[in-house]
Amino acid sequence: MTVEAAPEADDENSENEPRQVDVLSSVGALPVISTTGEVIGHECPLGVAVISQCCDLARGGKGHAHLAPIVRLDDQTAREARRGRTLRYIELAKLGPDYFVDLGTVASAENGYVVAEQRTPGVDNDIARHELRQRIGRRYSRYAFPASLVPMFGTLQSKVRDKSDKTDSNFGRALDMLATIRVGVAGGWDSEPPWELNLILVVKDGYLPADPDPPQSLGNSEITLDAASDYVIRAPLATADALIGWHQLASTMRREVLKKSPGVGLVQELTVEVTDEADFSYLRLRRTVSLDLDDLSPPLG
Amino acid sequence: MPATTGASERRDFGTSDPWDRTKFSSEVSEAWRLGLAYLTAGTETVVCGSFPLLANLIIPRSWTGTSINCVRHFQTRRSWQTTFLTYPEAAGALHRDSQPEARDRVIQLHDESGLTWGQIAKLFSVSRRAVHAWAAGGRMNTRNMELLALLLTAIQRIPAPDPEARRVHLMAPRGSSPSLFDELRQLGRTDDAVVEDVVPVRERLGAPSASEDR
Repeated sequence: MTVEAAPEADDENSENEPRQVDVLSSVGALPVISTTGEVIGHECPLGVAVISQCCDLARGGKGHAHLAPIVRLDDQTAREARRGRTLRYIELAKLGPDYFVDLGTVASAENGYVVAEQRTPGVDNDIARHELRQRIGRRYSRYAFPASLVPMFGTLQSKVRDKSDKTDSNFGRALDMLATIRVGVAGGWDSEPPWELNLILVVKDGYLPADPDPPQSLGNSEITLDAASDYVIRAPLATADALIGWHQLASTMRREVLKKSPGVGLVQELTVEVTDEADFSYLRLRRTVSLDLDDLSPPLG
Repeated sequence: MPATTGASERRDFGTSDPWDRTKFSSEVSEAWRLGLAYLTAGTETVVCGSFPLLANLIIPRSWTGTSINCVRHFQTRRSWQTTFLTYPEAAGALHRDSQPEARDRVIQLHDESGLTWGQIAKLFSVSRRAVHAWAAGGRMNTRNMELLALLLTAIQRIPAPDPEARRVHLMAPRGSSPSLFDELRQLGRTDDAVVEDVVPVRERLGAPSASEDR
């Protein structure tokens, strides 16, 4: 189901006020402090985008706005960024299919300059702007997993990236049915290892049955990742079969994670859990962290 | 006490009842009564010395009289501090055997308490679907297995004739004290720290923080 994009708010001054993700084509470089302490120019041949929120910009020209360069990406990187798997880049679809804001370089300009300069909107509507705002937040607020756990989750990450790059892969299609994957640890993340980890697959609302009672079976936990994914995408929505499928997939994902030992004494056990958006409480949201796969990926460029 | 063969450094456990209840907390005793046993680091009954991987795992009591089947790892490394069972072999093996028992206990908790699956989920601070999965044989972690033993004990101590009466007892207001149900919920919350959305509401609204008030 898609949500129709709401039109821009048409208030009296919105035409003239700078907004988040406005594009300034006239800015050709951003200042960056070099390793020797000099201020050098980071070239921005495609211009820059405003990262600050509009409420920060509407201060009569006082204060500083944050700007980031606009770049064009190759197909592979663009696809990952578009899917939200690369936090560094945020899509500016209005400019073209391969145009992105590069949050790898952010610099400041006086608000007065931004207000006075000619700007064009980088997005079409408020929904797109909201998504973009979320991605900017994600770039700076994601949870940093303990380094010792990175190789373990990296195994799953490589599977995710390998399979989901193929848009028609079973695993990729199954992942599209997930709202999020979260990780919890008994005793909290500040507790001492060995940790008891819980990998939580939060399926989008409406995909799992509203069963009042436990399922008769959790299916076969020994099948392959591809077979488990295939089962999930073939099962009719909101049926007992769909639930079995997700339990099977969770078990196979657990097996993938356990292929890479985190090291002696670090992880006591790993459990998996299948739930959905309606059943996952805010309390648990606050006590778990998103398995943010970009966090585990090597730096790009 | 467990049998020990000094030459091979092999230690069995449970060849006789090793559990001197006076030395253990009441929770451990209850676990034993419920058919579970503890492997606890720092006692004569441990199978793995102070190695933390296996510390505090609950295992089926049916394992008594058997020995851990991975002594060779221990013999070759000759240290209490190194891996006795390799990860995830150890935890996996132990839990695979204990899961059927956990499943039965979860169903028992549901049947004897009169609580709904959703209410039981709240006791564990997990989703209803997580409890459903446990009741269908899904993997349960150590912490929740411990909590399950405590909850079963608490439910069985309620002076009521049937599940419905126990549910009423659990939910009944108790004056200025929380209901027994809400009291038990605290067991499931313990010390899991909040890691997301931690900025207090009052701070988001620009009001003084609690620390500033003091």
